[in-house]
Amino acid sequence: MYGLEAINANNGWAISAVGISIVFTGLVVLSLVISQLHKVVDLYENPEKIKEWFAPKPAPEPEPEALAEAAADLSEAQRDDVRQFELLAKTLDAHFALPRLLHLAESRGINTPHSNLNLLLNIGIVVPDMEGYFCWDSERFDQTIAG
Amino acid sequence: MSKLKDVLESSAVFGSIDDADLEDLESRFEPRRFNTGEVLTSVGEEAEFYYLLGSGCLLVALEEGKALVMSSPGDFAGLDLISDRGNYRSEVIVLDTAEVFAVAREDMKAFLESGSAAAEQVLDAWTAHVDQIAPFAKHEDILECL
Repeated sequence: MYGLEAINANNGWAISAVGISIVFTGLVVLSLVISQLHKVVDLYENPEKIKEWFAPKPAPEPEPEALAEAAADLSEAQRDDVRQFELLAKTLDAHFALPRLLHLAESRGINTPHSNLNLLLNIGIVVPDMEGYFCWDSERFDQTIAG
Repeated sequence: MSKLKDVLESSAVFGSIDDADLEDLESRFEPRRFNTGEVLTSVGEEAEFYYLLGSGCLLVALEEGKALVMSSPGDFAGLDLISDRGNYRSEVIVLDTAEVFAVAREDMKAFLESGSAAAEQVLDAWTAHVDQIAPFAKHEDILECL
């Protein structure tokens, strides 16, 4: 018995199908492993990333309601000061140096510039960009001060 | 004034070391109070102290206009973030009346250079903390910069 007849008689088709499936599955697994290999290499080169997984999470961002409450407590004088800060921020780049804004506020004679800058940070109008610079959140300013 | 032990325990930098080492570290800090607008460190001056924040808000002004705001108890204005080979490299300004715990740079340097397990933990925690809050201010060799 030879050829197709022999294949049929000895479950050749089924064995071939199983063989193909095994090889194909193996190739898929291998390709997945290779595609993720760069992450393993990255961890090997930067082991501190493993520590970051277990590091305490940063404090949560203040809730919008809490920010709105803080803004609602502002006196009219503080609102005026914040408006003056806004004018100064407009003269700076979108991502500006916070010490520069403070220096400008001091030199322009804005009341209690340090406290007011702290206020802007607390109510989320001045926000860090995580690159060492800060941004003016016009939307929040409109919501809390201008509106 | 916040309790130093509580502040140290809540600190991302010092919170992981054990009680005995924490007590040893506690003895090196002394409480101080600074008013809004005061300048704690000026660039180029001899670096005498590092500051652990108990309450209030500090602005740490780094090179090239970059800055960092510290307002959580346990935040640490110290090490390579503010000093470089014995001189301050950053200006630390009080934005809101601050209760801090000052530690002499020489004391902290001696502690970190002791090579103890606690010192290693603090250095590791500091590296991870700076990576998280100010990756733009990272330095390769912290001890060199003290």
